[in-house]
Amino acid sequence: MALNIDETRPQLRGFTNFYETELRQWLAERSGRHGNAKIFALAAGGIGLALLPLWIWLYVLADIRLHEVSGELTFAIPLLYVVGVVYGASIPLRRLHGEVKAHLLGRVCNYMGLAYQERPQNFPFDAFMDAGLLPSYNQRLLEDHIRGIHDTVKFELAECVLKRRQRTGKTTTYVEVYHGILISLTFAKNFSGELLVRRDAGAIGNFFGGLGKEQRIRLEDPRFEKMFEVYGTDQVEARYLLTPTFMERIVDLTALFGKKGVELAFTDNRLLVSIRVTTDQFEGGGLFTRMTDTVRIETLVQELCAVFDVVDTLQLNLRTRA
Amino acid sequence: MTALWILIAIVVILLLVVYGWYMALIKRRNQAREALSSIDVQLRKRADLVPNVLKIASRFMEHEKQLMSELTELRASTMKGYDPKDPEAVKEHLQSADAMRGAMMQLFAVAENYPELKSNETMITAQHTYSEVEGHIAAARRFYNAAVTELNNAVEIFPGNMIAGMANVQEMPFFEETDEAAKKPVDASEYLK
Repeated sequence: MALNIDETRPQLRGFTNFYETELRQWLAERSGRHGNAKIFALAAGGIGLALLPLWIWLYVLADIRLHEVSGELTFAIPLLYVVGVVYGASIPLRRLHGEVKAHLLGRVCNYMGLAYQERPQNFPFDAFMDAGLLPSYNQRLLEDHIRGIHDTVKFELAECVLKRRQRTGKTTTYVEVYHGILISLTFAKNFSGELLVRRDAGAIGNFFGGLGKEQRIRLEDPRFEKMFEVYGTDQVEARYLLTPTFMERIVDLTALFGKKGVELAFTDNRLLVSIRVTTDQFEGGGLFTRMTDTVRIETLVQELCAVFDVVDTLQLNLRTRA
Repeated sequence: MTALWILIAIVVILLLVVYGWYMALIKRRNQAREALSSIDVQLRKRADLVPNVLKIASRFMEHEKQLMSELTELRASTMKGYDPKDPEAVKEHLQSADAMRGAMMQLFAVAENYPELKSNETMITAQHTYSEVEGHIAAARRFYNAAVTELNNAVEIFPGNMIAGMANVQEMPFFEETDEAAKKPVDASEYLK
């Protein structure tokens, strides 16, 4: 299947040729290993899961229990067994997936003039937290740190997953409270205050969401006002940053990312953007996706282009007065 | 007896409503005044910038003395004290601020005819700073006009008009942009040649 890439973007000129000469062969060479890893995963997983009824019979129905194991744990053990089987069976597949992801992201980012690091270093995560764009959490996963310049706008982004601890009786679980892309961009205007643009959460949601925040700023664009709630330190500066034109662009940006939810904050002369997502980003294909399936690259390029769309839609290279 | 209590309750409720309305009016008036003072802060920034711009411009634009003296006068009139409680005085003050903006725009437009001035580093920086200040003035204007809309609606709509009359809360003028050049019809034939 032919690669479907929008080569009109300056960063992607000649990309199909690059794919054919540099990436396709590399991926094809790993097809055999991928096939073996898939067979191993299915075989080991299948055998392991086939033994589950026997296991249950031994420990539950035949009443052969370890005396020191509590009743709750007796039920947890089969579950842990299943998780262990799936984990063990997929080790070769996941190892290959990690290798493919690192290679593809590195090469594609390099082609597009971006710098890539799997484990973020010096990513301004705290700025997003302090700005009020992220919820409180107990566990954090930050990966895929990408940096670059587009139309004089410097940016860096990372994928972020936040989980909060929840205790029900004796069991502790971690619930995902945030999954999204965090983008930090330079902004063409100087400002000294702080401004937060959050999604409208309805009357009750806004009331509780606004507690402890700076003053609420009401703006004149009805479409924007319906979609967002704005909190800031300065009424005038808020309007200096959120000009009527810029508000329109934010609405356009929301249309581009659909229901994923775009939120913004202006702080320390930077624009911080949070885009919620529902699936893992920058993966370079799923575990079972055929190695040479063009979807691997197409999805990856599309995800990377999101940051260019943010810069282009908001026209961050321009200083807008109107 | 019951009727008397009902009457008292009605009067108390009425008084509470009137007080609530009065409170809202005063809050809106104060917000409009706060917005007006934020305009003044930005106008002060612009006024501080004007002497520098004129100093640079005077070195190159010897034939534009009239425009420059007009600007100096407008600056003085914008910075003149006024009573923010008097709507007429506010209106005059805002009109003079707007005239000042028009004159500054004219100065920068005329400066286009002086290549040396146009490419002068200090002038470029001054123009850049000026444009930033104008951006802040535009933002302050939006804040002020939004506050004035709320105040004027409250003052004009019944029973707000009665309460405003008793409390001596007056409508305030909008800060309008009267850009004469922008209002002129565009002759597209020049561009379509």
